[in-house]
Amino acid sequence: MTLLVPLGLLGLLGVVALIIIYIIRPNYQQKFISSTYIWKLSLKYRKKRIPTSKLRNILLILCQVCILLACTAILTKPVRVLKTVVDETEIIAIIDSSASMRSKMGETSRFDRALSLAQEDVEDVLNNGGIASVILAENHASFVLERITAAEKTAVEDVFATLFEDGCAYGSSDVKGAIALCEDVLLQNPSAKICLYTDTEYAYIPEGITVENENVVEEDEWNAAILDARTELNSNYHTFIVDVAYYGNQTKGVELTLDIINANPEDENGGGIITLKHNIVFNATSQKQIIFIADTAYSEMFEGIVMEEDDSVEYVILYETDKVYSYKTVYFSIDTGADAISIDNTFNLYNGQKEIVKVQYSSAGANPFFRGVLLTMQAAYAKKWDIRITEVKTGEEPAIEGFDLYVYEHEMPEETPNDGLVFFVNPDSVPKGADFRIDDLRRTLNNSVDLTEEMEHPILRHVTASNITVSQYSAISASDSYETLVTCDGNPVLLTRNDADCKVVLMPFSLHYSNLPVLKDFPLLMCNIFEYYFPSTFEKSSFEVYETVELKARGEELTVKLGDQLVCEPFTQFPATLKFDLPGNYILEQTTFTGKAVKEYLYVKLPAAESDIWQKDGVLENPYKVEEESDYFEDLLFYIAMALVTLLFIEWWLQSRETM
Amino acid sequence: MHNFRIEFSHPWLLLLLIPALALTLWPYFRLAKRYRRTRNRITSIVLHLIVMVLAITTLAGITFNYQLNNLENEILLLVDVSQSEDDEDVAQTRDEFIELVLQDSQYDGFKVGVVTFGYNQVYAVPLTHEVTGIYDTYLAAEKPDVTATNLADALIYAKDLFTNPQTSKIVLITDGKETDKRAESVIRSIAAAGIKLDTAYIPSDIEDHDSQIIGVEFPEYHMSVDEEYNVEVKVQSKKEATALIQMMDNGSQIAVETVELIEGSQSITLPFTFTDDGLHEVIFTISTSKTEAIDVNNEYCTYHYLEIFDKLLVIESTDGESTAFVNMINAENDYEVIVKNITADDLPKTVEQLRGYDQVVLNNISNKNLTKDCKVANFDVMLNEYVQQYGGGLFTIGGSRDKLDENGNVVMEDGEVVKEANAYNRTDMANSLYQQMLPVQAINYTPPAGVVFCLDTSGSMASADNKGVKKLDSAKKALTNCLPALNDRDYMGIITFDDFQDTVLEMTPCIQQDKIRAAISSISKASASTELEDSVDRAGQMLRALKNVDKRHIIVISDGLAGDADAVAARVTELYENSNITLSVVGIAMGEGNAMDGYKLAEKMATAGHGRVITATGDALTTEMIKELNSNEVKELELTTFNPTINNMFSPLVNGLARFEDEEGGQDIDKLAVSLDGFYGVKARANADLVLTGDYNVPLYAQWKYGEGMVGSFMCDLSGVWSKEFMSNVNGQEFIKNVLNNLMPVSSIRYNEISAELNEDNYTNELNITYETEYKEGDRVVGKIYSSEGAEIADLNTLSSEGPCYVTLAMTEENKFSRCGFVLKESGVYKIVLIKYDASGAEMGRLELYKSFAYSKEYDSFLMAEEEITPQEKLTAFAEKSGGKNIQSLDDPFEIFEGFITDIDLVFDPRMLFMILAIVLFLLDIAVRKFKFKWPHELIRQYREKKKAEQENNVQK
Repeated sequence: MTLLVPLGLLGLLGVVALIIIYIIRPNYQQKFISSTYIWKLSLKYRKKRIPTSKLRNILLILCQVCILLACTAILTKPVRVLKTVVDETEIIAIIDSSASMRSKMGETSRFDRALSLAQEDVEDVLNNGGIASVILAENHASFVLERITAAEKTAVEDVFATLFEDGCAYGSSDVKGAIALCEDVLLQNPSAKICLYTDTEYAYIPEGITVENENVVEEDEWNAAILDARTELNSNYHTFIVDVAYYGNQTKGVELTLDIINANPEDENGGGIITLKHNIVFNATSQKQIIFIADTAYSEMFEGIVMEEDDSVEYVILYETDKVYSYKTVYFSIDTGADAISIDNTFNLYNGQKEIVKVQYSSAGANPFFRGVLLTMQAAYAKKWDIRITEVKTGEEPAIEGFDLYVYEHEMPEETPNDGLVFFVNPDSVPKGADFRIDDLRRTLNNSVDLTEEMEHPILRHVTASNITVSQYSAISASDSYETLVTCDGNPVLLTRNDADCKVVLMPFSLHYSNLPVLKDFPLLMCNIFEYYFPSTFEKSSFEVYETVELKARGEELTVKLGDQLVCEPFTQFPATLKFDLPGNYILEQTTFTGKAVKEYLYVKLPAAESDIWQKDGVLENPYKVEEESDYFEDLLFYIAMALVTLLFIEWWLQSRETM
Repeated sequence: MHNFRIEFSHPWLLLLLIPALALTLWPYFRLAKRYRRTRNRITSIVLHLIVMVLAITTLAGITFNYQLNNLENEILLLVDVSQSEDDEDVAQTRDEFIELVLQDSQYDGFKVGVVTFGYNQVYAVPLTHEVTGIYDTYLAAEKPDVTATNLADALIYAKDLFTNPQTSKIVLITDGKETDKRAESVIRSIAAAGIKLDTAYIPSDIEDHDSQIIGVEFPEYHMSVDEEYNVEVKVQSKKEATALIQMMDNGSQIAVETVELIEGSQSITLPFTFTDDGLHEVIFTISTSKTEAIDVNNEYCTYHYLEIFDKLLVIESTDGESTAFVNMINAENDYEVIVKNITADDLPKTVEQLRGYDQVVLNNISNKNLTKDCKVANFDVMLNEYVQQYGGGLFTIGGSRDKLDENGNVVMEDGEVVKEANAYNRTDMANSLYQQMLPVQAINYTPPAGVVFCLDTSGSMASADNKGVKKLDSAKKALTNCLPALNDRDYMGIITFDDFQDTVLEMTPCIQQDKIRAAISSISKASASTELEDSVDRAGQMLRALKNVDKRHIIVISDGLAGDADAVAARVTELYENSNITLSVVGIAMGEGNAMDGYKLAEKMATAGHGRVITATGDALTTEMIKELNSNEVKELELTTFNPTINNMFSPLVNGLARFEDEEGGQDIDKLAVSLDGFYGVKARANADLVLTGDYNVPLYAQWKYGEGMVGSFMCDLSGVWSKEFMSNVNGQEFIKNVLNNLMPVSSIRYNEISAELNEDNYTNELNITYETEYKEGDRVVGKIYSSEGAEIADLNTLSSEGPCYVTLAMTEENKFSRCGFVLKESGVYKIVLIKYDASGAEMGRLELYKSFAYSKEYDSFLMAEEEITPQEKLTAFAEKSGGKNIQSLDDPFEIFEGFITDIDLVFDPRMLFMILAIVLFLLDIAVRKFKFKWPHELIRQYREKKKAEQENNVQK
């Protein structure tokens, strides 16, 4: 028990006063009384036993003394100490785990140094009887140690050993989230000190937060990185454009290497690896664009021209065997000797060679509209797909297998192919397995009727059904597996079927009896059909760590691997969302509905901003709230006051007995 | 103090008061009346009751709680009251929000102030704790200049008003529109001071119709008096409407156009002619039948200063070579022409001397002439500076020279001197500064082509030709052998045709030669008939789908064609006319025997396809096909008579020029009526304006903007060698004059001691001034701004703060007269005059420049729509940068008060007081019980009675 106000003991003077009262109280009083009164009193004393009465007097005095003592005790504010206010003995260490903290020039990385500093500070606090918390600011901030005391000191070593072992993350850090987490600790101990171990320089740091920056970074650190790489086609050759950056203040030379895999496979001796190299010299922090361009393309653009000086762009002219018109993968790398971050020294560009989509066009009387629209699709999707069109000659039997897209116009095959998308146009018969019936041939009133869109469907995106007129069509009865997209006079004229084993688009009218071929809606419709059944798995082939990608699939299941390791359970619902936590080469595998096993690659790299190891930031959030009076003690007032009230009751009862 | 409360930690213990009262009174009332009505007992019982109450309330944990306002917090409402927020609904939304914020802030002791701003700021309500009535003060306050929005200055102004920046916040209430300066640049300094910035977005989008003129683009090149030009008027409209656009030149209407406005932006071309030189104050107005939300933006004021530029320096390589040219252009003495030989001693020796001419014409001047023959060192560098930096015009004209062999002797062929290009000589021109200046590249160049070979695989092709080789094999061999004739940018496709057409090779880049060879090798089938039409059709489709080629060509290879000649010819004609696809026929032993019909068909097809028929066999077939493929290579020097094709139909250079008419009177609007007999083959630069071309887009005249000036290159001579007809024809003369006028500077390029760059940002203007001679002590520059009426409206040497034009940064000795800033708010055209004097007061130089101002961007109702991010995103970014928040709901702006410590909670614990009282009262109680006492008034009465008794005794005695 602790007395918060020892001065309250002055209340004991009350006891002294009580004693004085008892001492100076008159022993008797001079009164003129009748003799009968005395007689009466004597009867009373005769009835009572003298010892009890004495005891009552003693109890009364004791009671009165206790009351005064209780009051005095209350005055002194007696408390039981629950916890003590600790000044500067609690630390919250926030460790920035962004990719730039991987910067390492010598033995230790920035992250290692940050960990060492944090561990040292945490242990110091714990050794002095303090409390320590450690927050790791990765993509999401989280506590790795929360308000531990010296008793749990052994955990510190374990946790820091694990952090040293696991290393820094690969993305950007959530320092804001970490500061928010501090608020929970500050509620319990407003005087806790926050230390942020980071390599970022902040413009505004709130009072109470220490940003440990100087001892985390080293002055002579530098980093070179490939920020981005892409290709363009110039004069039918690939131009490789690489953005390389240097962050430092010295003159540095780096060697950029491109390993082009399966280059020019159409050549007799093609399909091998072409390696290109280029030395880049940086004088200070800067970014350069290195352009590897075929001599013919370069001449095309700049022949005979004196190039204006531009330090940020360097051209590397490719001659003869170095020129590339087709590739599968390009591995970009820079040889820096020893820069601060090595993981950003590489970049991979995949999917140079496009997947082949085989299209068969079979018609009783081939028309230029379908030929034209197929060629338009071929050109439109040339960047993503290698669409190869085969036209079935009149009199030849169309194939019912081996293609990804079958277009049957009027003359139908006997059986519906099941290894690709089938587009039946104006069917004259029902192929086996097609699950529809041709009822009769209908002519529309006034020789043309506008079509009606029945439902919103990706196939009808930007297509205005009401613009399309049809003067003759076949009335169709289709099974429930078909969806009716467009109708004419209430009869379906555009239907789709998207079963796992059967994908069909059915258009039961001839282009000759419609204005569709002359509308822009026709190529739009064909492109929509293609995109719907042949969606790209992903839209770009390189991502940054912690970026999310929407994945589509042409099969039932899509597996994502990082190297040999499965990243997650195979996706079965599409579009699916995947977030990349680690950099590297991801492999996406699927078996398409056409039965093809497809492997696609994508590259995940560090965020470009993280390669800049000298980043600066704006405002650091302030987590501190105004200190509030916390309940550090258990007040014993209640108990003493309870005693006081009880004593007051007793004392009153005793004195009332006395006076009765 | 507010929110006073008496609180008990254990209020239920107050129930003890009941037994306390009962227990106290019970024994008392048990006493007989006569005993209990003693003063001691009554006093004792009262004292005891008080002590009990004190003890029980202490036990119940009584505390007195109250709050005091934290008076340190400061909130400044920074209210955008600019014109865009002036709409009744918008202003109401804004003011309701402000009222709500003020209401919410009046209870927590905030110091609140209001700053209103537009272009400038008004401290409408100084920071005060007395929040009541602020709203009315705000409403009644003087308004700032509402015709522009300057967020940046407003933020800086507000930042300096706080007394406790660490506990302060600016609430920026705006639509995010910025007309002057950028707030983004000052947010960091606000954050660094510890001030948070919250933003409240008050949408100012109005649904009403509005149309506006946002800009005008005169031609970038020089314009001449009495010539018709086109001006691009950029118009924006909220809704579709019919609009009348008028163009007024110095008060007179010179163009008017009725246009259909679409929703959004569009450019409207107005043809106009300036009839005199000098300053033209040009006002464009737009009026629609619909009611406009804003009228100010319907008038756009600008200017054009039309100077007469007529001083030409013609430089030739051979004396007299320019005589014909000069005679042609100067028949009416329109120009002051000085002709000099490149080797002359009196060529301008400095750029300043060169700037004495408005345009330099290089007539058949090669790079060698410029760099080696010229006696003025670095004449090419000087010329480059003249055009690029000062805006001089440069016109280059082609020409030939005698070709020399390695020994320097003239090369002769067939008894005639062989000529080669001089001005556009590819070898001479390569990698030169001269080449860099030109809008064309003198390089070996073949326009990229797409070629589809339609190969006959009918039965007859399996037969042997007159040399005993199978025709199909000959064709395949020729196809393979001619591959090198195609270059990297070319595409090739192969279709075979017999009974059916078959695409053997889709359009494939010619660099994939192995693939092409494999496709050729795969051709083997030969069947009965020869179905041509379908294959030509297919070839046409394949070529049409190919985008990145200049020439599209079909080569039909056959030994004898069959089919409906008229139908095929019609299809080929259609391909040529619609898609510029040409067609040639390569006949293998065609025309032999009974195949004359096939040959006739081939001729008909080739004629329709603007190609030719080649007949050959064996190795000759390869040679002929290579010739066919090489036929589109651009030669350095091409002798051919042709009518130039107009590539840019909108170019003013071809305005009014007669067009080609064929023998049947049909007009080809693409071609000029006048012809040339040859050209120098070059390739146009990517961003050149290709005005005239030969076949397949080979440049004939191209021009481009090079730095500040214009450079034009004519790929033919103008000395009458190939251009005799052209120069004698009025259309040719007109074209060349148009070119010369077009290449003239847009403003004077004469040497001037003073040059100035005017940076305009809505109202705010900065003038950066440079001098040719270094500033010396005593030098001074006097600057004035004059209205279009000639009245002086500002003195640039003196700071001012009022009026339609005031100076915010004066041009003084301190800044060596190098810069000044001024604000100009009224629409009009102004003249800025700068005069430099030396220490003796002598004038050293004078510069006159013009500035126009149409209307404040505040009235640009599309300003926000043109930004990359939405206003809300922009304001959110501002708030986040400073650690503040963007207020999500204008109805509940709780975010503003978040993070502030509004109240200081105070608690008084009365236990000390109570216990002291309890001790005292308890002791009194005991004393009362033990002692008989009298009340003071009794003692006094007793004392008085005693005194009285003593007096009576004394009297009795």
